[in-house]
Amino acid sequence: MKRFLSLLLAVIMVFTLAACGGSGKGENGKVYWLNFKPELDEALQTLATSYTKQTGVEVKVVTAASGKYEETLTAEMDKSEAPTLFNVGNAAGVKTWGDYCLDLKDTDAYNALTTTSFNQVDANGKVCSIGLCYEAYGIIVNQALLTKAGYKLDDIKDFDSLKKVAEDIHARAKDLGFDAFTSAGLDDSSSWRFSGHLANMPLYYEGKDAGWTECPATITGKYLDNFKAIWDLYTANSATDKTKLATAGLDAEAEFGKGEAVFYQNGTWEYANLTAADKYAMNADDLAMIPIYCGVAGEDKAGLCSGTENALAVNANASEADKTATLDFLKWMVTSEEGLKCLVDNLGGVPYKNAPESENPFFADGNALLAAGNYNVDWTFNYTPNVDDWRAAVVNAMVQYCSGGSWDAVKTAFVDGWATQYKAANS
Amino acid sequence: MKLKRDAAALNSKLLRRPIQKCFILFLIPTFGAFIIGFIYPFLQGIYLSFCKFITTRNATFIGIDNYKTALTDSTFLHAFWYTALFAIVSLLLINILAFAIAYALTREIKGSNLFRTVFFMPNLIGGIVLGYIWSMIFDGVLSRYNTSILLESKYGFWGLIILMCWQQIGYMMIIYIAGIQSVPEDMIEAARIDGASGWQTLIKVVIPSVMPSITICTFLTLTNSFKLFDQNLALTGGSPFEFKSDGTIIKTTEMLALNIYNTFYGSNTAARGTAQAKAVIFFVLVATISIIQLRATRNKEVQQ
Amino acid sequence: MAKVILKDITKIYPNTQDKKKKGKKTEPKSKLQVTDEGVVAVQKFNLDIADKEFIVLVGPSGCGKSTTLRMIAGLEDISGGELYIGDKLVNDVEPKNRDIAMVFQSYALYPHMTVYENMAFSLKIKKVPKDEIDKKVREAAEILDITQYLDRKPKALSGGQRQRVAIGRAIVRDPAVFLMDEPLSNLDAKLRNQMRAEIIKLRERINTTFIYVTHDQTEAMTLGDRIVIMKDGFIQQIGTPQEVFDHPANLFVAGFIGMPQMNTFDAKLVREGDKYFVEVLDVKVELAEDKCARLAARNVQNQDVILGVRPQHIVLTDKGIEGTVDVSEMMGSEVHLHAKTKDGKDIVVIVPTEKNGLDFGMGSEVNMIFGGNVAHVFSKEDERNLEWE
Repeated sequence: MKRFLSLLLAVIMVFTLAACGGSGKGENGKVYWLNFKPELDEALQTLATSYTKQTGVEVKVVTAASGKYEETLTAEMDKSEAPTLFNVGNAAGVKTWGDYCLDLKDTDAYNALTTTSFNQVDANGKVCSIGLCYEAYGIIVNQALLTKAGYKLDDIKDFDSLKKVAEDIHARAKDLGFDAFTSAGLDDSSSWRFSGHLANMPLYYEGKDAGWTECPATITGKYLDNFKAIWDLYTANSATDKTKLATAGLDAEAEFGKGEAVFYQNGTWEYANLTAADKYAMNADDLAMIPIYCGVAGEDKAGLCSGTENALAVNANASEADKTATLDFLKWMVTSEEGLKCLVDNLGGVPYKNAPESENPFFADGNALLAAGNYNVDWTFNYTPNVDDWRAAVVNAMVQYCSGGSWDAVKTAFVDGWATQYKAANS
Repeated sequence: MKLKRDAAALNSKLLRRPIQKCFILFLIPTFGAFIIGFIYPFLQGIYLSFCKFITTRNATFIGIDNYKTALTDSTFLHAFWYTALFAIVSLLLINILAFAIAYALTREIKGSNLFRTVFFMPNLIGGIVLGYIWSMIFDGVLSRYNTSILLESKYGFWGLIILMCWQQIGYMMIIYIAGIQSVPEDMIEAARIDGASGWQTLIKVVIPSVMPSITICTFLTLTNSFKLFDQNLALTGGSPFEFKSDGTIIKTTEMLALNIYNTFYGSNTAARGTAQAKAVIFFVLVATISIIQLRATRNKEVQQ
Repeated sequence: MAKVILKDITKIYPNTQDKKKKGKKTEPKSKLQVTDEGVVAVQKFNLDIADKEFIVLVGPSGCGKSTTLRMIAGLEDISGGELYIGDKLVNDVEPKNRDIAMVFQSYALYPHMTVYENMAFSLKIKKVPKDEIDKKVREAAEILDITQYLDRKPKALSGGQRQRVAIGRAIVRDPAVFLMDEPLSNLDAKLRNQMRAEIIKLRERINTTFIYVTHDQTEAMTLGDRIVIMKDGFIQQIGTPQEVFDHPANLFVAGFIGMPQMNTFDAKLVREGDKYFVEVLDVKVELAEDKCARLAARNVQNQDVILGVRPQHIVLTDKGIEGTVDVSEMMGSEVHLHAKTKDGKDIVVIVPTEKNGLDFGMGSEVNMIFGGNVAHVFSKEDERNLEWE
């Protein structure tokens, strides 16, 4: 028994030493990437493994649960092994995490960028994060179904034509076997499509009129009627009862993927899932993305909404070795063939010099619109103060509205909520 | 001489002294765990409540500003009153129902063991899971009336009460059953001969005799209600919101713990110190209430 | 202040019932009869209790004595037979309406009430006016000498004091029948003797019908006007203490009553005309005349019997049954000698100390004999006393 005990102790000691040796290796630097986009997780894990295989540098990729990035980041940043690479995608992020960001100006990855417009820069001009990709969103259209319903893409040029087509399809939904819009789910897994993306429409037009260059203290909600118009269109012309948007556990992607609806408001990142053979295996040729029309004058010249919340920052508080390792990894990812391929395949729009052409048709659609002289709808929502709280309030008000409440609640959450959150964030 | 190897020998001072000197050795593991798991975080938490910080490792001391903000925060005050109301209602309902069921199940009903198990089971399910399951159940019912638990604060309130009753009654019932079973049969019979009716026996004999169980159960339900978090988060998450004219958003079904959590993890990172201050206030509050409650019920306890 | 009549009272516990709680009645020791209906705890119990009589139910555990008492109290349903208290049939009357009071072995005081409240409880429930309650409680406390404890809670009292409170609680109700279920069993020996005496005194003062259950034959003998000896649900004998001591109806009663236990021997009963002799271990003793007469009247013939002789009734002589003293127990005024005969039979003899009790140390040789008037002969077949029906 005693001999067994001493053996056991010896084994434990060896392991402890081995563990020490393991952390000793840490002098070479490690990369810990706290990923922001759940849909990217799988690809990044593969990329990380591949990089480790090639260079021996450990790359850990952890993905925060959808909608829980800020909490996860807060918790992780407090640990001794904090993320070395993390997402700072908007003004609020810079406000919170600016002090933790290494100035990325003139790093190799920075120099490989084709544009600086997706970077996040703080008040002092420090480059807190550099855009990893840009994305575009709009209304994804299943052209096969659209044709079946007797329309073609060109029939939709503005809000009125969209409305006409959608209402017609919805009216004939029984005969057609599909409806106009997918469900506009308001639970955590889907509500950002509306409180974030769709809400960008009124914000964008107001910001465009007012010429915002930074987060305004107050907003007027001038274009909220347009927001209401498009939201009503979505909810009135879908198979889902609008009182159940928050609770029914809806899966709009599946509805679209299975051909149950023609229109699906989402972004370029959906391409991979929609076409993947093991997911919905849709035909890439059937997919197209059109701008979100909401009845603002002159919007027939609108393009897709493109921009990014996906910008990477390097932890300034990490050890020098880790910082170097992280910058090296970042450089490899945005310059090497393998890294860029992975990014392009999964993200589409990658603003780096050597990035190959994406086969994602949504980017092609976006570029075609821009080429035709349409204006890009910027991601004005990146200005949102205390973005999660503001959005949560808007979603809540929208839920109330959909179950028969007044639109005023949405207005209050939208306009007054902005002022309150601005005050709170700047107190 | 024959060597005595009995307990008395172990009690000999010669043996006991050296062992007693080692008592620290035996205390270290638990005490260490207690310090790491409780004392240190507790003190750190109090310190942080006087600081402005984003991550706990670089905090700047700012004095009592956090407390000022916390105490003037209308969402916090709303959460407090809401929690207090919830605690009172659930305290009463859970204990009355749990006692009634326990009383019924000690009356030699057929299959009472099965019932005990069944009533206890909900307690084994985690709060988050329960919250989501019940939100589905409530919405399944409410959607018939074209509404949802997220839309009316009164639905959220009673929904949470129902959930908590469902979850906790079984646990409290077990404690009450133990209490009721320890009431001597003779005493009940004596009361019967003394002419007490069933009701009089219950009120004047059984209940005073199970005061220790009542103390522990009210303590548990009260603190559980005050500390409630998972179920609150999963069932309504604070919905529906009420938008005040000054722009503040009152999450009408948000309880204290959830309020603290939302303050801490909300995107307004400047408020983390405030959340910490709220947490300290919360601790003082829960501790005070439970001490008062323990005092009050302990006084009524008797020993057999 | 009422007579109690038990007519064919029977208690049957259905087999299906959970017996855990009724453990008292179904301990493995007992050999209760099991019928299709269940376990019979009390068999056709017949007893007329006169007004103001003190009846003691006695027997080993599991004999059904407590069950009988609880049926009288109304705490157990009566499975069969009729129970009258006073002139009223009370089979289906609630305990509180039977005009009884009961004292429990465990005292069963309410721990959260003071002594005063404990005693006043039943009266309060009956809505007796406050001043009357006060009068009654103080009276009872006076009788029991617990006036100074009225404000205390039971936990602050000793066992004896608690028992007084329990009795007090019964007294205040002024019951027609006073039921006591082993009230002294939880007390130590000294207190028990003291309380026993107090119960005798108490009886003088409150003068009502008592039914008292005990497993202790001393209590039974000292307290009872009449004793009911029970075993396995059957009544073995009913009689005054003297009767059951002098004329035990069977071997069980003979062994149960009297301390130390009666000596028993395998013996031969020999009839010679109208005379009867017992032959045991080399000696032949002629039975007394009255015994012979009773045996003759029943026409008892020669047979193997069990002979019973109480230790008190064996005397040491020069000749007789030979034995060697094994153990000598000095009890103060008397000495109990345990003697072993040649064939290994143990005999207990009581010898008064002032005589020659102390002369017999361990190992000393003795000769023992008994008189024909104190020998009891029991049938070897059914263990019944052959003298009696």
